[in-house]
Amino acid sequence: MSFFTLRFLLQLIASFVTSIAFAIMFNTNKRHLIYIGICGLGTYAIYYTVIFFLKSAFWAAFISSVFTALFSEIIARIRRAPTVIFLLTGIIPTVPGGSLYYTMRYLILSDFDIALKKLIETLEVGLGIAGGIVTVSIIFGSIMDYIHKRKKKTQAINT
Amino acid sequence: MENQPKHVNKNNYAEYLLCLALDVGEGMLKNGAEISRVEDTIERICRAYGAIHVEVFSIISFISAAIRLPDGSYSSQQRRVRSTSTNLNTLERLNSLSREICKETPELDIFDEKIHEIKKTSHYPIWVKVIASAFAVGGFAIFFGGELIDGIVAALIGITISVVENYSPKRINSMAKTVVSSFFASLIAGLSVMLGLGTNADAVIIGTIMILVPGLAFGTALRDLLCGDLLAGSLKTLNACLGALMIAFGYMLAASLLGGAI
Repeated sequence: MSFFTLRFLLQLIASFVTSIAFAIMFNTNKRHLIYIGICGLGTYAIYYTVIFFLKSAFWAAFISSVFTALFSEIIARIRRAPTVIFLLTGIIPTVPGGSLYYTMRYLILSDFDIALKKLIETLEVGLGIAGGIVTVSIIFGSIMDYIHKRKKKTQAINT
Repeated sequence: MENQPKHVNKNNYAEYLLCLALDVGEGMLKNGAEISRVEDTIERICRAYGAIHVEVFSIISFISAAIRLPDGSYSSQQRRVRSTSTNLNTLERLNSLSREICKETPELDIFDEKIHEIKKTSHYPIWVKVIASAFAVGGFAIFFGGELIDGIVAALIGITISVVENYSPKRINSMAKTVVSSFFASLIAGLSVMLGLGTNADAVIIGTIMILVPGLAFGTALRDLLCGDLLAGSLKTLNACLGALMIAFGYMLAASLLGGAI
């Protein structure tokens, strides 16, 4: 299977559109919409790339959510808005709705082996997303604290 | 913010201050902020106005806070939050308000007025939201392997769900709404494939599930858990699991009605 397929291109467009659509459903301010779209597109591009080369849903979710969290922390500081706006909507394309559906479906068909496998995949992706976000927020938070303290110190020395 | 007490004693500084801080916190909780942010904001506002002792505790449906001022006056108040939805614009404005308040600490009357202004924040008109939901569901149907025609069928389902969501009476149980939405989504998806309109019922149903959103709720629940908000995190996890179960229930009803065609 080659890396670039028509399906991948379609998915990129879809992730851009759906992120923005979700942002509108969540009543986001108009001026952020385009960045939210870029965030969703980037998140999915990374998710797809990692899953293509490493074949691991957990690492794909983890690395792509690290990207989303970093992107939203930075954009939020530039545009002076809370991080959660970009984070909640940008993460949407990697949410494991697909594997959740297959879990349900195989449960109903009484095919418990596949259902269990899909359930584990769902949990893996969920854990990967949460882990990525928490990692970034801890690291970013402590760096910002450090910069803040340094600034205060130099100000105190200067005055 | 709707159930703001109308008879707050403005001469009692501690009481008035805590009431306003709780208004901000309650507004944030109602509109989808994380628990830690709500607690943090209330504490910061109270400290900016000189409280020496602040205790805040919050779960997804309740805030309790107490403050003590240097002159010994004390106030303790609680708020019950009944419904939460995600409203990022209001959240953003409340956030910048709290930042501004902490920096400038204006008179409490002015603070009060500013909170009231935010209540009037404009939302998107409902038809824009309906179209957005059509694009979201349709987009995801294509995203998960559907053809263009599946996307269109899914978009129609998205419109249905959004109309149900926006026009149904507020008192209807949200779990019941999820079951009904999931049932109709699966039914329409299955029927469209039976009639030869759509080609991929799975993609259509997954698109619908993405908008009924237990995945997102599950993600934020896990994040709260990992950040140490054990109580709020486990409540949210329970809520997300129940949501997933309700979707499964609706899907099962439709599947048995159609005789296992999906």
